Amino acid sequence: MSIDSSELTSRLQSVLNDSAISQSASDINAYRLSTPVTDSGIAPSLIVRPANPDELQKLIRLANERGLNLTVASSTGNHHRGGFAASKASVLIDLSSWKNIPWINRRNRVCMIEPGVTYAELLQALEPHGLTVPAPLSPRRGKSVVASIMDREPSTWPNRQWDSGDPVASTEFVFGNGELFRTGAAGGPGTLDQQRAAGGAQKSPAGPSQTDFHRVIQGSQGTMGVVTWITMRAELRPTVQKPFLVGADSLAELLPFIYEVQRPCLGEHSFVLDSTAAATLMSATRHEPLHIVRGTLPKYICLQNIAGFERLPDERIKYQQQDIETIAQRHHLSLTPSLGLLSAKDFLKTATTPCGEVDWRCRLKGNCVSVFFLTTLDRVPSFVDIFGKLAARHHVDEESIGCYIQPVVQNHACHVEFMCMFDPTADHEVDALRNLEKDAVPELAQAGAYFSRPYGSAADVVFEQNPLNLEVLKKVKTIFDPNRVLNDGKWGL
Amino acid sequence: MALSRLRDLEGEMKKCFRCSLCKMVPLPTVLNPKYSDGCPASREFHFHGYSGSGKNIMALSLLDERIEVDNTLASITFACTACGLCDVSCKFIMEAERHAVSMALREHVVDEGFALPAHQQVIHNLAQHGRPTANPADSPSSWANDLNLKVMPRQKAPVLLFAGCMQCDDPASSQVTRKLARLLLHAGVDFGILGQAETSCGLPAYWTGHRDAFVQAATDMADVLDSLEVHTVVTVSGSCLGAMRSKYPEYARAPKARVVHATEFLAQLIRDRKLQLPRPVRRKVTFHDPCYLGRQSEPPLDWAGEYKTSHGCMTYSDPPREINRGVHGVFDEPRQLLRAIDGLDFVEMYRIREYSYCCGGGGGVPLAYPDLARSAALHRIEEAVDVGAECLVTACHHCRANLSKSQQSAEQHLLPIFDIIDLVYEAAGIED
Amino acid sequence: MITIEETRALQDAVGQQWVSTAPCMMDTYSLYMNPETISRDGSRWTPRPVAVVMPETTQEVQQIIQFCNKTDLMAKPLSTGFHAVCAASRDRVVVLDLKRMNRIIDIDVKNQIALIEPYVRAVDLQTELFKHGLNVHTISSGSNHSVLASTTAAWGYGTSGSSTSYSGRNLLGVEWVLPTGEVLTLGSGGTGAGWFTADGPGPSIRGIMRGFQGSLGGLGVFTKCAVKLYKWDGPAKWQVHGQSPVYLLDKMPARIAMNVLAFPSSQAMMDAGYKMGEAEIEYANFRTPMFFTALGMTENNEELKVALESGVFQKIMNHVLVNAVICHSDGEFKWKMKAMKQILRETGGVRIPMNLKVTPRMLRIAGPLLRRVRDPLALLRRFPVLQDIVHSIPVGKQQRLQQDSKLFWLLVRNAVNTQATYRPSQGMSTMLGSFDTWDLGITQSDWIAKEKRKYIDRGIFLDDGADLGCGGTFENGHMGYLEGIYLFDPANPDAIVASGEIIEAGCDAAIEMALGIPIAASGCEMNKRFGPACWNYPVWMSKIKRALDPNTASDPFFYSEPESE
Repeated sequence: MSIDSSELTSRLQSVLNDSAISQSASDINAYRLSTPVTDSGIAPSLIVRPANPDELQKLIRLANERGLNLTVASSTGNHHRGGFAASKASVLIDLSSWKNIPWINRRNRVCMIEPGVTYAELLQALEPHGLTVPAPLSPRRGKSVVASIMDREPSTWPNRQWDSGDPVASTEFVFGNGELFRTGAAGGPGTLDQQRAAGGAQKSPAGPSQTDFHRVIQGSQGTMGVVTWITMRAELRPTVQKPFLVGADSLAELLPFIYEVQRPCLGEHSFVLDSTAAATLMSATRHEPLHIVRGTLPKYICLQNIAGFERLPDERIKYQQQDIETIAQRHHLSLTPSLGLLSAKDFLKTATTPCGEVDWRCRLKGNCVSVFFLTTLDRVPSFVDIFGKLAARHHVDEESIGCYIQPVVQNHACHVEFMCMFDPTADHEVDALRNLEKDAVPELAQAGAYFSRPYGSAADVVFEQNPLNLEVLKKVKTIFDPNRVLNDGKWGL
Repeated sequence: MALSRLRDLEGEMKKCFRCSLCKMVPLPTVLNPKYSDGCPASREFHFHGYSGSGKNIMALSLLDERIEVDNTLASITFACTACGLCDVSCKFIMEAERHAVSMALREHVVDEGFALPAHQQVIHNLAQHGRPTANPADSPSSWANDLNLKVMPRQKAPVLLFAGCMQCDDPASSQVTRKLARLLLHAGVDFGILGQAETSCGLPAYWTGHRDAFVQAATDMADVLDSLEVHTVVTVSGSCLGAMRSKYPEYARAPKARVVHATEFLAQLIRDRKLQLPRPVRRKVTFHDPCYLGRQSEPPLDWAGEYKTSHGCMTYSDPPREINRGVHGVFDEPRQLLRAIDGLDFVEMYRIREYSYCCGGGGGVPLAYPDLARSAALHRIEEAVDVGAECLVTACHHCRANLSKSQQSAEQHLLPIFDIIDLVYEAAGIED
Repeated sequence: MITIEETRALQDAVGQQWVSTAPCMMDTYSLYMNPETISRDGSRWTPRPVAVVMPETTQEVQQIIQFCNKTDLMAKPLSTGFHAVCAASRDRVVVLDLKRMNRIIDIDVKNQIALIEPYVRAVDLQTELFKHGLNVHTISSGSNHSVLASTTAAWGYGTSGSSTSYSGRNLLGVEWVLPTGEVLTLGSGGTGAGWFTADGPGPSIRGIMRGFQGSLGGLGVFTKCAVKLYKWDGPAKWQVHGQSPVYLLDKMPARIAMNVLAFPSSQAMMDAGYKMGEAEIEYANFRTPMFFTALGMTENNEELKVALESGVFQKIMNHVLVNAVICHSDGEFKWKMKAMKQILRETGGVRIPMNLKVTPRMLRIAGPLLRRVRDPLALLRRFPVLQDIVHSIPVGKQQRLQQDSKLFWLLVRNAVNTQATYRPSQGMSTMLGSFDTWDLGITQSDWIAKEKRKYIDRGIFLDDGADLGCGGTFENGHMGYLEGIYLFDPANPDAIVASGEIIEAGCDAAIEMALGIPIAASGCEMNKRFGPACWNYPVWMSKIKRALDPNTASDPFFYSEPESE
């Protein structure tokens, strides 16, 4: 992008309203990554806010004609991971104002949302319909639902995720060459209304035909296409919930229990936090200092929610509780409504409710960098061990590292996240973490951690592990974004 | 001629939609994935042509004049044990004649002059002296030496013990036949044998596609049996039973006498309390259902009626026709005998009764495709081992011989192989 | 034709005995179900391949594909190979029959993942998995299908979709010999981390590997795949007795119920499908049309004819769901059965007692009597407790076991499905069946029922009452699927032509009525037809084809021709 700023602005004005183009420092600063630990890339030169898919298409076509480099964001607030981080000058497309929820369908448990819709907004809209959606662990207030699920971010409700692409159903997006496309059942034939009149609900993610292009867009961090809306799988909203906590001082004690509960899809929300992460998550709701809360907790806490829905809710809870208790007893564990200063009800509520403007992980020390990857549950202890040793080697305070273990895809895999909380003003902490992150990713990868959502150092490591995959991705990129207008150079694509 | 027989079966061929169920035992009976294959040829050669469906499609291709008979077609056609499992498995889902197509294809291949040399030799031998081997090692009745049995037709008896042809070359078969004779004597049965006139039942001709030779053999044998005026013919080998009970009526005519297998006859003797089995036999055994004692011994089911259609093209038979599904073979009596033996621990294999796995001993395969015969046998023995059996029991000379020889040639001595008569004889406590 | 040198090169790759070029053998790879998919002239024969090779390893597959890249030969893989999508589409195609690649490489019991080769049949894998309390999605065409094929390269609807999803969605990893001959492993398996996800890192190539339909051999060869497994709460093993064609379980295992549910209307049936999905009651379900219900309750076509003529089934079995409830605990079983009965009360559904043998004699008597009764099940509907009473009558245990066994084979083992579709006339085909909602499914089956009527009236299709919409719900009712089956005499060339016609008409209807892309609508011809109505997806496919298969080494017919230069 070698054109000067005024020329760029004037070109953008040919497809967008003046008000949709911003060069203000505050706007641009909002899209600077808020972590000093990983490479933040180059901040965008301009922020643009197309009003609709048509303008978005025009914008992308313009980028193709003029060689602009585009990145995209839909969330607001602090950006920690920054999928939009670019290695060269870029125009950032801000879709956070696209907040329509045009359709909610109770019968087929599906809703249609635009990229700017946040979890708080969506959950509120779904509630009158008796619906809800799986959400990440206490997402920050400005977190876009589309951004989250198009990034394959894990939810706390693992047995509702059948496929790693869930809960994405159908999608509409603009490819890098400016063409609009729809996937899944929405891919046609017919308009959305015609499909609905025939009984369809854009529920299936598969297709059209022999393609599943939403999977290419998903996880691409804006390098393949820009989503304009998605339909999303919703779930019945629990009418009664009875969450429990299961504590253990080692994962070895806890994991067999989780396996046994997850296989028959017993219960609902389920995840494990270590005491640091749990106390951090709950710090906004507890008046005690975080270390006091942590001190009352066992090393690992599993939240296991049990719920009843519209049909025979209490009886459902009763049998599920009985079954889960039986499993717990078999493993010499117990389901309890509280552990130390932690109540299961509060824990569930906090975990499933959007937190404040700032990610809860930053509460302890002001900032946090997470190293996260996928593995299987049985291998988690070995990674905890590796990371612990690495942290010690880098003199990172053990008590500032939290661990989040989230079974995904009905416990066929497991998201593991080491959240390293740090004081962003303390250079030594930043330096230590920077080095830890750089060392940890390759070592964990070597040990079998799979960095499926590559951020930070992971991006360098994981693509090197499978060079042919990258080669094919390059071919795919050439097809969908032939002029490389979508975050050119990211991952070497 | 054979082409017209193939033409008659064209409708059956067109029913095949290549589902490949003919390669497997019927799906509900799959109890162990290691033992879900049903077709030895498909398991060995893998190409689709070797399956029941494959032969069916090749036959259809011949009728559509897309191919001609050649050595390759002949080679594929005869690389098949003619066990009929494909027929059973296909009929699990539809009324379609797979075995009939396969046999008609063999006959056509032979008619076209592409019989396998090894098989031609068998036919030559049958024509020469009524037995499939070139130079019988023994005389047809040497097994009966010193038993003082009645020899028919010179001497009369209501029951004929039909020894078949294998005892001439196979000492073990000869011993089994001898033991059966002694059991019958022990039970006081008035029976005779054919002595030097003993010939083959003709099944090798059927197996190798020599229709005329088989028709001749069957007709001749039926004439001989009728001339004896016996009321019961007892076959030692399951293969002979299959020939006489199932194939004679289909190709020639059924003998007037009731034809039974030794296991049926012995089971009846036990039920009638004419034979006791006082001596315990402490072995853990399993039973291999021979194809021609089992599914291939069903007599053709009589039916006089017609096929009609209703509801457009739904075919039905009027009056209702029961088709040959292989389920009316001799399955229960061998098991009754084994269960009647004190101390015997009888366990079933996974593939049993009408969906039994062929040991590879039939169809003329041991002569022309020894590797196929051996691999089928070893696979069957492996199954017996897997169910914990200490020995494998069968009731057919061809099966017993192939199972035993395959172990020898592979130098794998996994299990002792017995004929069921060996065990009954031992249990009967007859002193040598 | 294939040259001697080319044959020799193939032999060098796999060994002489595993290459055939004999015309008779080639013809056994030129006849498949639904030949009309390729042969528009009513011929039963599809194009004859020039060779069939049987590789045993990924390396052998790779060598063959690499050789195809050096020549104008194209590769076409098949696993169990029963549908015409497995056929070569033209001359100079080498078929790769993957039957020798039949290993279950690994079963990760803890994490519920199986790593398999192409010729691992569902019935075999499922039998092995049951020992470990695990299960795999099995498609309803019959459990003799290749699990890998339905998961990676073809379709995959099964009756247990409510609890085991859809084959394409169960992919956790794949080893893929690309059309260039390179071997790509997708997802976590490709980094050596284990075969637990097929997506990523970053954008997922899985999205071009397959869609609603697979690439059907048009984009390389899949040589291994990791499949997502599900819980199995039934027994690890069982005994079978009986004889062909009726095999029985020795007894119905504990905490398993097989139910035949009759509803008063299509709407009630659909509502019940949604409600049971939401309640997560079902291990499996299947919408069983009247004709198949009658077929399932009779032993042969003669009895079926009497049953249809009696009018009994038309009177009470027009809107039937069969389902299986299979639970891990007594508490779960009790709750699910209670919830199911509550749904039946809400929708007017009746759990049909299965301990009464349906005999021709009984049907002949019942038919005229029922004709005068508006709703023969009214009493059971009005007083649901009567259903419990009838079910608890301790008579007809053997009959009950027989019906339970049939449903077990249908819903759990997918072992008798072809009995139903092939027993009446030995020929079947199907149309529509796109994947979205349960409501859309019924729209599709209603359409096809109407369209079939003219062929039924002409005697070309079997008169099954026209409505032969079969399918079920997936992922606890989140999605649904119904296809419209039609039965015919495969020896009747008019029926083959009619089958082609109905596919054409179905495509038109799918476009005009927004019914989704039908299950049979894949490949170059169909893509041309549906592309303009579906965001021009074939344009992208042709680009993918060109990028991944620069030498057109994979037979493009059922996928896409490459974009022209």
